[in-house]
Amino acid sequence: MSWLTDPFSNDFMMQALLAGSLAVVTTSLIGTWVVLRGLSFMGDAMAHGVLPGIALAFVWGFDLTIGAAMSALIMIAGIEYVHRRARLSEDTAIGLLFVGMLALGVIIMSRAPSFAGSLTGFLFGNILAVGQSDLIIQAVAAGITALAVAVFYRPFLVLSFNEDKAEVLGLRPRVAHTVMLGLLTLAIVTSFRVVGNLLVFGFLVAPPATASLLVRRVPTMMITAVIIGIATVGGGLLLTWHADTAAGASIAGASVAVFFFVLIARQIVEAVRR
Amino acid sequence: MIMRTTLILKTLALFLAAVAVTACSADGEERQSIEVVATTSILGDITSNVVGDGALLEVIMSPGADPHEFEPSARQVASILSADLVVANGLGLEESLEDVLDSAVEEGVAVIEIGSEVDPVRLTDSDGFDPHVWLDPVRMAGAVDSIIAALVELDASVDWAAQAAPYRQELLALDTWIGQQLEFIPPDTRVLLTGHQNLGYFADRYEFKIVATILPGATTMIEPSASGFAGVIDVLEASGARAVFTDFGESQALAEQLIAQADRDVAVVPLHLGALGSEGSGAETYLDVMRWNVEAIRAVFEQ
Repeated sequence: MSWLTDPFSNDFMMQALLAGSLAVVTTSLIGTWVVLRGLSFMGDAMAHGVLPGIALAFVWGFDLTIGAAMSALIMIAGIEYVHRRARLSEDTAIGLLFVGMLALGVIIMSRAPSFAGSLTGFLFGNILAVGQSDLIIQAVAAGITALAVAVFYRPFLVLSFNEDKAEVLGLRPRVAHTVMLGLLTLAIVTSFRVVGNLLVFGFLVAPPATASLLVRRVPTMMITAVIIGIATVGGGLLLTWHADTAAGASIAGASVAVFFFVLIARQIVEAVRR
Repeated sequence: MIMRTTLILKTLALFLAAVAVTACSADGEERQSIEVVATTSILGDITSNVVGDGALLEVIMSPGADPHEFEPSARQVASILSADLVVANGLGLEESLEDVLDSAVEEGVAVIEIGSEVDPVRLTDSDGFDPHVWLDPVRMAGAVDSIIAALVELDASVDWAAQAAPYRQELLALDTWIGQQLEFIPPDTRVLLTGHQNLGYFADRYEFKIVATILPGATTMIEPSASGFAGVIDVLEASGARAVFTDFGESQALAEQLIAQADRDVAVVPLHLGALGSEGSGAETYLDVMRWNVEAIRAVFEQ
């Protein structure tokens, strides 16, 4: 069993495991709703759309997380504005803002050459460089998310499966939608610095999608997603350790590989049963 | 997604540049002096000392820009394509300028790649050459000779060699000075641990040994593996490395984690390795960059 335990005898590996697991809690809990409501494109766009805020925060010297949060809020407002005023479908609005924000971010960075770490760091993060302060922020975000999905369980459920009915039931779908986007923002801005943008989006979609193959009820889906996600973080870390591959990309890749493994395995099981 | 965006931007930049070049030549204006373009800020400074007032010089990368990740603007691409001479580092350093430099060669622009002219050394465990040649002042004296030769080809009426002689002398004096500054360090403690493989030429010249690098290559655009990183921690603990030397242009996060994990008390010391420092940094020229770095290294070994 030393192949399993030895790597984690290093502190930085334990911190990476812990940071990855906390990121899974925040992202997969809200990610379950993202998958159920078909908001994946929105999630992807938001994960990239935080770039201009981060770049500006770097140039003007304020906190990167605040910059990312501001960027995300502007993005949500922009999508809402285009969707309502231009009477275009939401995915067109998301696409416009996605490209616009990403381009703006790269432009700002091109004028600020000393942006240390820049694009590579933004995409892949530095999961091997997680420190204590990162873990505290992530733990708080995970706590808030867990509490919010519990409190807003009913409104989220109605919003996901019968939005029209929500109005009738007095569950205020717009408030529920806003809270959901707020939680999505929280998940992205607290996780991207640690695990990188690619991994945030991977955790947002892959573990919940895998869980949806296995279970039906939403609460079970959320719990299953978190368990699968944490197992993936561990597996991905073992992969980067033993196969000597890039750390963040190994974990993100593992999360998607698990999805396809479960999908194919389920098909085989169904075929055998018949 | 980023990759695709980059590709589109690059294509667009090339297109706009082509338009700009055509527009310029249509004017039929006569050129007064030679137009020289240098890619990195450090090569730009060295080139400016060689050409003096004898040519118009444009430097593509501003101080502080990481040459590995730099993206040119359309106007800069146009400058490269319409220049008489382009002074580039080559050896894969300017990763996103390579296509543009190829096009410039096709357009008939004289392009010299300093890296291949100054006796490059192969990277350990890789086929490629180490591009960070400028961290050896003797090689930069060789670069001055290459630039002079290229300028003579373009305009033999100017005595470029005589004009650049004092600066060439300063480069060799810098080499002597660095040797003297680091003389006191005993041979067995001359070990360096760096952010990526960028101090090879410096180490060769001044007899240091690079025991490990955090990123396992000569570029900043890679991510390490977990076991590779653990290996670097082991090396840091086992070797006598006094500090982790990083570049101001690269992320310090992994270096900070490295010293936090090691059971020895070492510091992260950023140096000006990839570019000139910004204004007020005390490292605004190549000569100052090298002096600044050597003083920082000396301070570490004096402790």
